[in-house]
Amino acid sequence: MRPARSRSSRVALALGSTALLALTASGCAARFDRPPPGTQSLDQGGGLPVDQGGLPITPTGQPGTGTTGLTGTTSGTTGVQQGPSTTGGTTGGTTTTGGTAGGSTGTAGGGTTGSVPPGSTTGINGTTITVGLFVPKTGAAPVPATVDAQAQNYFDYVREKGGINGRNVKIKIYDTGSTEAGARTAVQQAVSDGIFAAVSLDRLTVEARLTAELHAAHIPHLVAQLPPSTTIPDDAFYIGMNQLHHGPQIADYMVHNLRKTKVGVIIETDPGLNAARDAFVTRAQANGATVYKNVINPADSDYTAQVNALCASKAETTWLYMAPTPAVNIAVEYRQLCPAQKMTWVGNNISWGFNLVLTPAAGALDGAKVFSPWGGLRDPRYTTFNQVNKEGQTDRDKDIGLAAWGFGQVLAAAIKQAGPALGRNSFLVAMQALKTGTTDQVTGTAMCWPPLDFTGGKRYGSGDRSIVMTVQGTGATAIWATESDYRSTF
Amino acid sequence: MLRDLIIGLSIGSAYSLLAVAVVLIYSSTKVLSLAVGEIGAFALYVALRWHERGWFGWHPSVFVCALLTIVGAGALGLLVERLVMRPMVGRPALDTLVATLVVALLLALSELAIYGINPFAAPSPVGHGTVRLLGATVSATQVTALLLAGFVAVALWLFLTRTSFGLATRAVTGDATVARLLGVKVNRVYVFAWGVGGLLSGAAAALLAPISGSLTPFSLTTALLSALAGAVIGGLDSLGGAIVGSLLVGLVTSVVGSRVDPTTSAGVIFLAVLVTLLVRPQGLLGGARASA
Repeated sequence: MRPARSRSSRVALALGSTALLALTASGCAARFDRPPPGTQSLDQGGGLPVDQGGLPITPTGQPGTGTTGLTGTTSGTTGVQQGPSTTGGTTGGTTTTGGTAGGSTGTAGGGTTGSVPPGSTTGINGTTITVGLFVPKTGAAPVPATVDAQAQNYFDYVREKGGINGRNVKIKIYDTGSTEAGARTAVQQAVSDGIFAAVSLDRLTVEARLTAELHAAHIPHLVAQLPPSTTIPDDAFYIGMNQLHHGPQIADYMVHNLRKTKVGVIIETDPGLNAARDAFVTRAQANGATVYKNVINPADSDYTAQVNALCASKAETTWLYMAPTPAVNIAVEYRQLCPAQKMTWVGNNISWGFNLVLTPAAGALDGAKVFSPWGGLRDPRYTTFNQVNKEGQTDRDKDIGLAAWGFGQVLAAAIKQAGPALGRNSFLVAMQALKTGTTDQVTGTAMCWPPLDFTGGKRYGSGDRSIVMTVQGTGATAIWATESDYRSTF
Repeated sequence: MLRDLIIGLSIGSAYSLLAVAVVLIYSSTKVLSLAVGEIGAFALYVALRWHERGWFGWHPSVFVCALLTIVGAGALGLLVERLVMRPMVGRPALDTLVATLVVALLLALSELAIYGINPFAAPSPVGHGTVRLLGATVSATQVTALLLAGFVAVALWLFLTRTSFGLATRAVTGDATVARLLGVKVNRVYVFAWGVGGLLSGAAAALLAPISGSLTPFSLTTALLSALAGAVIGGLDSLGGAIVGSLLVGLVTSVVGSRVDPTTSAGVIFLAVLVTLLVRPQGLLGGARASA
């Protein structure tokens, strides 16, 4: 059959191709690890990473040029006002930017804050503090639906324990739809609702958008992850791990702990991931390993070429620096096309270290390792969580509850430290002085996120400490389990 | 290089079934169907859920699931024809194109709502065997897809050129109004095209998803993008062209992807589509009249 082709048919053909291209480009695959292009470098403050002794935080405006640590940052009408702290260091100083009026000096923080003006009390109503939780309930990478019920779980437990300074937190969930546009809309809604503070757990690009929007709205924000190249605003607090440092950590782990000499790394086609990948390659080679590296398009449905190349490389362990779906697909294809070689897959941060991912993997991720902010559900430190959390239905969805529980613990610690005169100002000051350790300061249970330390202007509170988890069991019974406790070096 | 060629052919083979479905529907009805991918995917979702949960006290095997997918997709294709496409007969090509896009989106959103975004395990109906050739390893699923696409293309070509119904189909393709005046039951041709297109869509889904081991909403539509590129390059009115074009797409994906990067290989493929539309709109194996 060879019919004549009409002009309208050709137009339709071109439109069809365009529509499909647009559909694909809109991002159909699940992604947690895709930073936006063109963001600023992590390194600032004389070349030092900000989590390694860079500039101090001034809670509004630009990083201050004053002294080290949290020093008497009395800003103007919109700034954070901090009076003398009851404990802490010795160095005082002033900030030169950040507010319209300068203020008096204080002494370095490090413990509980003193008579700190509360600042805005938006979101605090009687005995309730409303906090927004921004997660993707829909879209390309949604969290399990039971997150709604699990999100309030921790603060229900806090209520049983008597609350925090006579108050308790109500979590209000906002759906980002896994998109930056959805993030903007969600923040607009949250501003309209008048939330006090925000916490978020989403894919990198969405987290970056949320951070910018919440900063513009002057809403304090706890963020799970950000692109390595993003400058973290002074009212955002990064509680996950810096992925730029994950590369060398994973390289060290592969060589020193797994004792492999042929290692691999595969990333998605995103220049924002190159820095961490390159850091991995450099460290692995310095450790004497041979390195295989490759790139995939996460929208592809067939990774035969990459899997064949990986198989030919004889790599014994490979870092899949990507979203859950392509990671599962590659592992499944590898098991099929390269059955004679044993591979240990390694993941990072919150990209695919969820129990839910193990179901479609159907055994292909057996023995995998992941550098995670939290441990496995069976970890003894989560006994209370497992006892209290009745909303999570199975092992498959409960670990998202663990993340929410951990967010609650960090929030609660800062709210407690801010004292009865709670407002955004006193909360920010408390966050800047926060050191969580391994025990929940409000309930006495084990912390679910890494021990945090935001003192001295640190921007990455975790100090890059990760728990290594490993897959226990196989197929339908597989579950992530704690392999080693929080550590920064391997 | 030989290894890349073999891998490229295996990748292209996975797209060829979808490309054949696109060409069959287009050459019979002049409708460029963007719903072909999701019709198969939706049927596969249902079959796999059946396999997982054992409805009616029966857990069908993975192979039976594949057969159920093919049958279900055929039925879905007929439903789309009856409810959406038949009322649009005679409408501009742009209208029908948008209609198929909407059908694809509705099906994908339904998958999203019912099964969620998380990958759904999709085991292979032909087992996990592999074939090693010139240093490359390809799966039995990919080999099956290529063989099935070739078989289907030959069978359809014979059917359309050697039977009276095939002649009727060609008459409808040429001019539906004239064919109707000559006594051809035009609606039957449309039913045939969408029904068989649906069956092929189901077969493609049943074989494509297991290659990566999982199924997600929109994943078959993403694959359709490559299949469509192959169909345009090979010739939208040529069943053989659909296969040849798909294999070429696979070769570019493999060779350029392994030597440069996946983004560049995708760019090369769509540049080839553009060049084809500009220079030889009938495609490599399409009819000469198309350029008239």
